[in-house]
This record gives sequence, structure tokens and C-alpha cells, in this order.
Amino acid sequence: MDKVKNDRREELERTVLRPLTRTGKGYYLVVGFLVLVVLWGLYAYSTQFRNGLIVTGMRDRILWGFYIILFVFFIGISHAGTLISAILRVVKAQWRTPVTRMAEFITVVALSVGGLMPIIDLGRPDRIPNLVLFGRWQSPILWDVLSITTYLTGSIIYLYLPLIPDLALCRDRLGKEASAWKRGFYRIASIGWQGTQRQKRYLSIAMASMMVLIIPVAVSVHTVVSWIFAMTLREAWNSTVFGAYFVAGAIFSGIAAIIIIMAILRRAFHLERYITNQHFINLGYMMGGFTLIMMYFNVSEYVVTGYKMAGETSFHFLQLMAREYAPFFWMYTIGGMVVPGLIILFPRTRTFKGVLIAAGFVLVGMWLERFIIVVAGLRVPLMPYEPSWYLPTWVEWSIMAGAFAMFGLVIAIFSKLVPVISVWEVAEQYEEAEALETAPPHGGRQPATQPLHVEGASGTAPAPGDTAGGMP
Amino acid sequence: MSIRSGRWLLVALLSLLLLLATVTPVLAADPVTLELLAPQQVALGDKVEVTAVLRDGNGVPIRGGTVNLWTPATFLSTGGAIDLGRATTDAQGRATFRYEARTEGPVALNAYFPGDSRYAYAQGSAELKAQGTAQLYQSTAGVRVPGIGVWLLVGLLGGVWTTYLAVMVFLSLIAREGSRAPVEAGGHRG
Repeated sequence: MDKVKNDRREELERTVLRPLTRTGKGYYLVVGFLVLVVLWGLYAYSTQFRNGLIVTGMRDRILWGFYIILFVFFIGISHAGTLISAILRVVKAQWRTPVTRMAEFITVVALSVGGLMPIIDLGRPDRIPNLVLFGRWQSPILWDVLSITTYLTGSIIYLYLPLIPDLALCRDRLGKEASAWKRGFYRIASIGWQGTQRQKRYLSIAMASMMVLIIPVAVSVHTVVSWIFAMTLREAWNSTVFGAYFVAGAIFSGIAAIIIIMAILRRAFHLERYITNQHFINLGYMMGGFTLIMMYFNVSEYVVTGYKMAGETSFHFLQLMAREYAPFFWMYTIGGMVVPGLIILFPRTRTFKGVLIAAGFVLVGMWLERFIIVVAGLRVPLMPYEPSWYLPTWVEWSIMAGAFAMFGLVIAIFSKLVPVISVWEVAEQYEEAEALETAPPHGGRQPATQPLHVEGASGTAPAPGDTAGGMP
Repeated sequence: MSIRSGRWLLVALLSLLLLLATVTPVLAADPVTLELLAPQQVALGDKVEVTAVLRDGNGVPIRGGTVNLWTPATFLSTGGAIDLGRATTDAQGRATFRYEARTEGPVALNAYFPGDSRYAYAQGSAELKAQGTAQLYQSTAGVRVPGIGVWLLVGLLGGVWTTYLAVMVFLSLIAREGSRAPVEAGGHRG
């Protein structure tokens, strides 16, 4: 039995650590392409920096565009990680272990990229200190700065804590296979982890504190982001449910982002044994649940405001549903919510590919949702003037491409630095499953989920998450 | 004299009468002077008294005259006059205004008396200089609940960052424990 256990652990370590020491040609091609796009984005930004915001499509009437859309979009994606990971940890979902690391890392990267967007939107980055020097406590902008920096710090800590044992694993296992600087990094970053009982206890307390704390912090971040809109005197943003709506939308798009990135990394690093189709289907269930929540919020919002049709609501409704922005609105409503919901609903389409396609629809749909909120919302005239238009320029398109490329690039670099799966947590899960199997049939408590089965003499076991019951 | 010449003569006479009716009062109006008195230096946000004194050509105060106060202003590329108020002169010929200095720097104040059937048009001006950095705008938006405000925000943030600090302490304990414990084979175990 011990041999089987050791073999399984060895294989797990070998599979997960392999990408850290071996790099294929394809990886360099992808990274090279991403670097080029990032450089192009930087060139576009330098053009904006030299000439000012006049090179963008933003003007006095529609004064926010792609940058603020991307800000909301990336902050939304950032909920993928920390929030989902923390919720799954708190409820002890057995299938979470191969998912959490990627989810937590997506949070940190998305927050970092998203946090750049308001700075780019500012036009004059030298004025950033003014936020601190002349910021007013009463302003949602200052709340946003405070909540995002708090969330980013918390997310980095929350990513780092469960990484410590795996960094020690890299330190001990990789040896000469890793480059000198990587060895140095593992040695320093693993802070002397030996896996002693005391260290485990300290780590457990720290992780428990963070997983509980990070949930309200994450919820507060997107609530505050929504307040930037809802606390502005604009007809389209007059909503009391914006906070909850933004949080739900953030988790919704976050799950979609995890699904897509997990699928790419699974394919690239041959992690099919540990990230199974069942993991995708489980995340698909979560996404399906949030599809219903999003539909509920949309119906609630549009039915209530549409029933009253106060002020300029009729202008906003017409531009959304029948005129200028109708293609975007219906693509978001049908493509971003109805279609993914139906894909998840039917067992025939509720497959790995189906969930992946649904996630793609959700991400595009949620980007369009932010476009509608920001641009269409600002288009509603405040005074009797002709409604304006927002047409993004090549600078904005390029910076957006650069932002997405930077997001992908940092994830690609990270995947070569640390294990993308939490090895120690997966191993622990194996041990727990084995303990449950060997427990007397009537003596112990019943497991919350179906235990993992050891198959045959080879000692191979289904990966974590291959529970027959799907969602635990 | 033809009928046509008679009609022209009639038009000329009527025009002359109209001209006389218009010009005569002006010609007959007494000249007046309007003096505007304002403090030269004020603190930003101060409400000061600005007085216009209206006198006739002999220096006698005019009672019951309407005086208008205005200041020139520009907004973006558009210039114009901001009407600051209107007051009627008392027995001393004084019309008093309350002016609040809301912009820093020199302010040109102008007053005019439009004239009437007896007195001619007159104008006067003065300049005052406002100094200071006072925050004049006070927002009244929002609900003020005692105890809920900045300190609540500070308290919440303080709580979160204190927890982060506590986690850092645990990290330092892990590091200290690592420096004490002997390195074991497979010591990386979670």
C-alpha cells in the first residue's frame, strides 16, 4: 500500500514539476508572440503619453472607454481566483485542489493588469500622487484605490501561503535541473519549510485566517467598483443593486476565465490526469448557477426601471434594446447568459468542450456587458444636446491587446516558475481518500463526497475531482 | 405744391418731432457721478460691503436711484457679465451690496446707473483682491449618521491590515522553525 502511495506521489511530482525544467519550442513561440503584442501596446501607450488623451476616442460627453471597461473586466476576473478558491476551501469541496493554485494566480495577475487601467485612463500618470495628497475620504474613487490595494496585497499573501510547501518541494526535488537563479528563488521563497508539525500548524492558521478574510475583501472590492458608477448622477447607473450585480458578474466571468486558462495549461503541460473533465463540469455547474443569478439581476433591474420609465430611461432602453447598442445588448443577453446556461443545462452538451465553449461565450458576453454599462450609460445626455459617439482608436485597441497579452504572458512565466497545481494539497487529498477507504465500514463518519477509488494493481487512482456525484 | 411734396413734408415734420421727443430728455438730463467703494484686500470667502454713491452734478446725493452691480467673467472661450445685484440709493445716495469673494485674485467690480427722465447714465468701478486658500464648497450630499464615516472606513481597513500583519508573523514563525529544524529527507511534505 505504501509503495502504491509513494509511486502515485512520485508520479504527481514528476508530472507537475516537469514544466519547470523542460520547455518546448511552442512555449517560446507563444511567449515571443505575447511579448511582441505587449511591446506594441507599450508603443501605443507612449503615443498617448506624448500626445495626450486626444489620441483616444474619449471626449467630454463619453469620457470613459476601453480602459475603464478593461478595468472592470479584469477586476471581475480577479474574483475568479481568490474568491472561488476561498469559498471552495471554506466549504471543503474535495475537487478544488487542482483548481485553486491557478485560480489564485489569475487573481493576482488580473488585479495587477486591471489596476493599470485607471492609470492609463488618467492620461497624466504624474498626477497619481494627487489621489493620496488631495484624495477625499468621501469619494468612491479613493475607496476603490484602498480596496484594490488591500485586495491585491491579500491575494498575494493568499497565493503565497499554499505555495510555500510546493516551493520547498521545488527546492528539494529539482536540484541541478533548475537554473541557479531558480534554485536561489526556491530557497529564499520556501522560507525554510521542512514540513514540521509546528510549521504545518502555523501555515494552517495563516491560511484559515486568510481564506475567511479574503471573501469579504473580494466582495467589497467589486461592490466599491460598482459604486463608482452607481454613486454618479447618471440615469443609466441609478441602481441600488449594482453592488450585488457587479459581484455576481465578477464571479461569473471569473469562473469562465479559470475554465479557459485551466484548459490551456492542462493541454500545454499534459495535466489531464489531475485536471479532469469532471473539474471542468463542476466549474460549469458553478457557472450555470451564476448564469441564473445574472439573469435574475438583469430581469429585476430592467423590469423595475422600465416599468417606471423615469427621466431618460426611455432613451437608454431604446438605445440598448432597439437602436445603437442593440447588437451588443442582445449578444450579451443571449450569447453571454442564455446560450451558456443552455449548454450547461443539457447533459449532452455538458461536456469538457461544451463547458469550454460556454466559458468563451460568457467572457465575451461579460466584456460586452461592461461596454454597455460604461459607454451606453455615458451616452445618455445630461442636458438637451445631441447624443455623442464613442469610437475607440488604434491606440485603445492596441493597449487592450497589450493588456490581454500581458495577462497571458505573466501566467505563462508563472507556469514555468512554480507548480500550477498545488502538489501537497492534491497529495493530502489522496491520503484522505485512502484513509476513508481503509476505515472500518461502520465505525467512522460517512464521507461528504464519494471517496476516490484505487484502481487495479498498478495503483493508479482517479484524480481529485473525479467524484461520481459531480458537485459535492 | 403737389400732393407728393406735401406727403414728404409731413413725413419730415413727423420725423423731426420724433427725434426731438427722443433727444430732448437726454439733452435735458442732469449729469451725475457714480462712485463705487470696496475694500482693496479681502480674505477668500469673506462677505464684504460694496457701496455705490450716486450724486448729481452739484454733488448732491440722489435718492431712489437704481444701481446695478456686475463683474466681467469668462468661461472657456465665452466672455460676459455676471449680474451681482441691484439696489436703490438711500437719502445719502448710497446703494449697498453684500459681495462674497469666491475666487482668489483681483476682481473687477462695476456699477452703473441706467439714468432716467431726470438724470443721465453713469458708471463707476472698483477693484478688490481676494487672498487665501479656504475650501468654500461644502458638500451636503449623503446621509450623515453619527459614528459612521471616515473612522468606520479606517477601522475596517485597520482590521484587515492587522490580520495581514498577523499572517506575516506566522510566516516569520514558519521561517524561524525552519532555521531550527534539521533538514529531513522529504522535508518538503505539506
